Amino acid sequence: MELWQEFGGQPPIRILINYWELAPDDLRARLDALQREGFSHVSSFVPWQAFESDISHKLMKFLQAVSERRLSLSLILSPDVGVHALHSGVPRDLAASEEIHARRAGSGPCVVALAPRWHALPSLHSAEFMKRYWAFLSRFLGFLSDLDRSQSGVLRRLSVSVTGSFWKYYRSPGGGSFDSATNAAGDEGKSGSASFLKYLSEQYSQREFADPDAAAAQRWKTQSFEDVNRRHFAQSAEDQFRRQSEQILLRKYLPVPLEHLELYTPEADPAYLHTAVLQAAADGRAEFTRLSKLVDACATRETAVDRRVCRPCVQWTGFGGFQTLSDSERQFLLLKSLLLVASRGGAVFLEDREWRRLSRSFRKRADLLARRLAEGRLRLGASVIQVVPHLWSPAGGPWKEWSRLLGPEARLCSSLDVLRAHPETKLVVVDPALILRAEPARELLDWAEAGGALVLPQGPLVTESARAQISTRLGVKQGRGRAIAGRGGASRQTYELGAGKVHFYDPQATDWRDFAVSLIEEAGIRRRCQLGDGRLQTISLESESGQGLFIMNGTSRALSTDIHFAESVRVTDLALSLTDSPNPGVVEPEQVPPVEPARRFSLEVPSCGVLPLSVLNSGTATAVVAVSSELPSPEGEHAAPV
Amino acid sequence: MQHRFDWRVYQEFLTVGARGVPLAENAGPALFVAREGAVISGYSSGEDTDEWLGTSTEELRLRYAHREHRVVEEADLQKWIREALAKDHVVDQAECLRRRLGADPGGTQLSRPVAYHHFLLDGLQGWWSRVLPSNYGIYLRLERPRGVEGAPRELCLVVRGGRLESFHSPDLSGMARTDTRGDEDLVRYLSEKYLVPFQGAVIPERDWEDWSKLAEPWRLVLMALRARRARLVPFRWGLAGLLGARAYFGL
Repeated sequence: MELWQEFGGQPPIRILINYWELAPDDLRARLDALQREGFSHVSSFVPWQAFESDISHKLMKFLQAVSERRLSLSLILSPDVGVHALHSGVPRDLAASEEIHARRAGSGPCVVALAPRWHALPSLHSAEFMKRYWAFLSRFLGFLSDLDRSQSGVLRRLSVSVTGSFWKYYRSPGGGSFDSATNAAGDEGKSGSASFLKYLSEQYSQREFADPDAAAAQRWKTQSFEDVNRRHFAQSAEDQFRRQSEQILLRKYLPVPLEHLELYTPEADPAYLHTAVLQAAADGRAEFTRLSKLVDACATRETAVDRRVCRPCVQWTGFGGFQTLSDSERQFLLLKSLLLVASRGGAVFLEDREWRRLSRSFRKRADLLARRLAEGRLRLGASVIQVVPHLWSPAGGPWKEWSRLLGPEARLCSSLDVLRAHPETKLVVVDPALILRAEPARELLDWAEAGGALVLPQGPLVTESARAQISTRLGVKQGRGRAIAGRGGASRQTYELGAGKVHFYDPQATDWRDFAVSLIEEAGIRRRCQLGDGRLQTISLESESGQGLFIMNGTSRALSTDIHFAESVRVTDLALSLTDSPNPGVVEPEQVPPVEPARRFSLEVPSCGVLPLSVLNSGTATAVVAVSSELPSPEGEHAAPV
Repeated sequence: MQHRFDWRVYQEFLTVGARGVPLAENAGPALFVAREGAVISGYSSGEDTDEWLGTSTEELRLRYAHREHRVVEEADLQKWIREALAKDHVVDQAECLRRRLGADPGGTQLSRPVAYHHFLLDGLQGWWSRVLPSNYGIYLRLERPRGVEGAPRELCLVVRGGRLESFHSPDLSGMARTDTRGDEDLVRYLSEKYLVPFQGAVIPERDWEDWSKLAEPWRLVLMALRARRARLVPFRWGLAGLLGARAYFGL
């Protein structure tokens, strides 16, 4: 069966072919090599400049070559930082115009430090830029329509993808981590500022903000709300970009399917910019740990457009820091990305040359894991979702504590559509920077009423109609609330609502530990295991028969530790269930080697190693341990330089 | 659209430190970026700088004593990055930044350079640049050992006006397809294609990798030429003389 069909059209390892830089012979040889290896799907960017100057019809020849080999193909149309072309494939005259560069107020242009040339990102707020870009999409659509008429067979296995483009890279550089408070997002250049003013005017002319009187709308535009407004504006602009891209492509008959991707390239992240340029100057290796943490940050983010969740994707380029890493470091990052995104229906993008640089045995293992993840038998759930105004800005309130306690099971989202895709979620938190409007408030209260725990910030960022609705449904005026004190100002006011609860928190609190732990326990969120060494990380995927537990050692030395479970469990090598089972992902009792059930196991995880364990349910109940505030911090014991 | 700047190919041929060389032999100074007296970012070859984020620069000076380091202000780094953006390609951009990082305005001299140059670039950009023509090309082909599968690796460098103008695998798709085309034909074809005189060299891959780890491997280069393991295409006495002068007199 073809991978394309087998994975419902979404293979989790997507091999990129840069058709525009290959001679015809070389292109055919590369496709043949991939086919021999068992791939039935390839992907490629369509660099805007390459498409516009394609006098030798390279794209057409590429499509034909792919079709002749009966490979399926997805073409990524949005300009993106991971395109191996000058200025990320943007036409030279546009890229060179400083007038339309995106900027951050304190740090100048937003720069991407990747080969073949470091460059400033153009602003997607620029009317001139966007006019040309929409024209490019229209021409591309015309190109496909022509092909559909003349060689429709070539389009049979083709799909096109739209990404979030440069938006998420409009952030201040440095700061080390993604969620650093200084790492604010948004384009503050000339075009960005003009669009921002227009957004403010349009947004706050809506009736909901003019309640109780027209003067109330002015309150939302004041300086004190600037950061909040910029976040909302950044998300709104990105969503609008996606919608408009789709509208243009669907305006006429698009002869192929279209999908939305949330594609992220850690090597191009602004938080990594300083390190990337210093590394290039020092001619050294990339900082593995930093890249690994960026994957963690990306894995907690999820977005949707018009009720469709955008597939989370990570791209590792062959022309950035990734390719300077050692084999084991690259393998570790690939496996980690694969586990974190493919278990949520996403994919890892990698150029064919980088894929072939990996050892044959690793490629085989990764491919096998990818297949199992694509089948959906191992899923990464979202226990806690924090709704934020902008996905790629640092989150506030108790976010760091959720993230510390639950790892990738805590999720940030910029759209409530994500919540609909996660029926397993037990706790929804509203970020302190989110302006809560009536309709989302109603949706959230309905969700809580059905049995969830909703956590809302106290404060002024609620419209009058939303406030009235919350007040009425919770009986705030009747004093039905119950105050619960906490350390560091993290007290909360709790209300019952149907089968669920609504909690109000003070966003000014400083210590979120007790707050987060108590809410997690109340919501019935459990962690199955605890590791004795904070340098190790776990990714826990749910399967039908229990749990796939991946213990990740991202350090440069082997680590020995104990793993504790609340109840006796049987633990076996997950690799067994991945390879031998007639029901892949499910461990049959007769397959399990005779390992005695226990609550504690000793493990040794090699440097840059990933230890896959299968934790088997005992009867119907799965062993769990309650989350405690004493869980080791991921950074806690990592004091010595590696 | 062939890439004029193929960073991967460049790195495969002309990078000293990225792969496999022991840290102690070529580690440059650690580099940190500070904002308002606190470290916000950094890079140190072979070390993780994450734990130093948020540390005050004073504390860093006291505690980071095991390795030479330099702290630059974020505003300066941003200025240098903007300066580098004007350069044509990543090699020139990195070099531009390297020069800035190496020149400490405080007067403290770093005992080691920020990065070591590859021996070939060191040669071309040093004294030789006075005697070499201002426009020329270099074609390098690395032959794989016998029994190892795969096509040989190739690099094409074009220098114009003394500046590295492009670096990539040669595009030979326009060359007449004959089974008998030799290295001389290939170099002649490249000269005609890029309109600059080309010098070719065919070298065993293992020799090249060994030489690339050294600052001055010129004697080994001469020995390989003499032993006919490596060859110049075409052989030019003038160039051989330059190699000899570099190998034995350091010129």
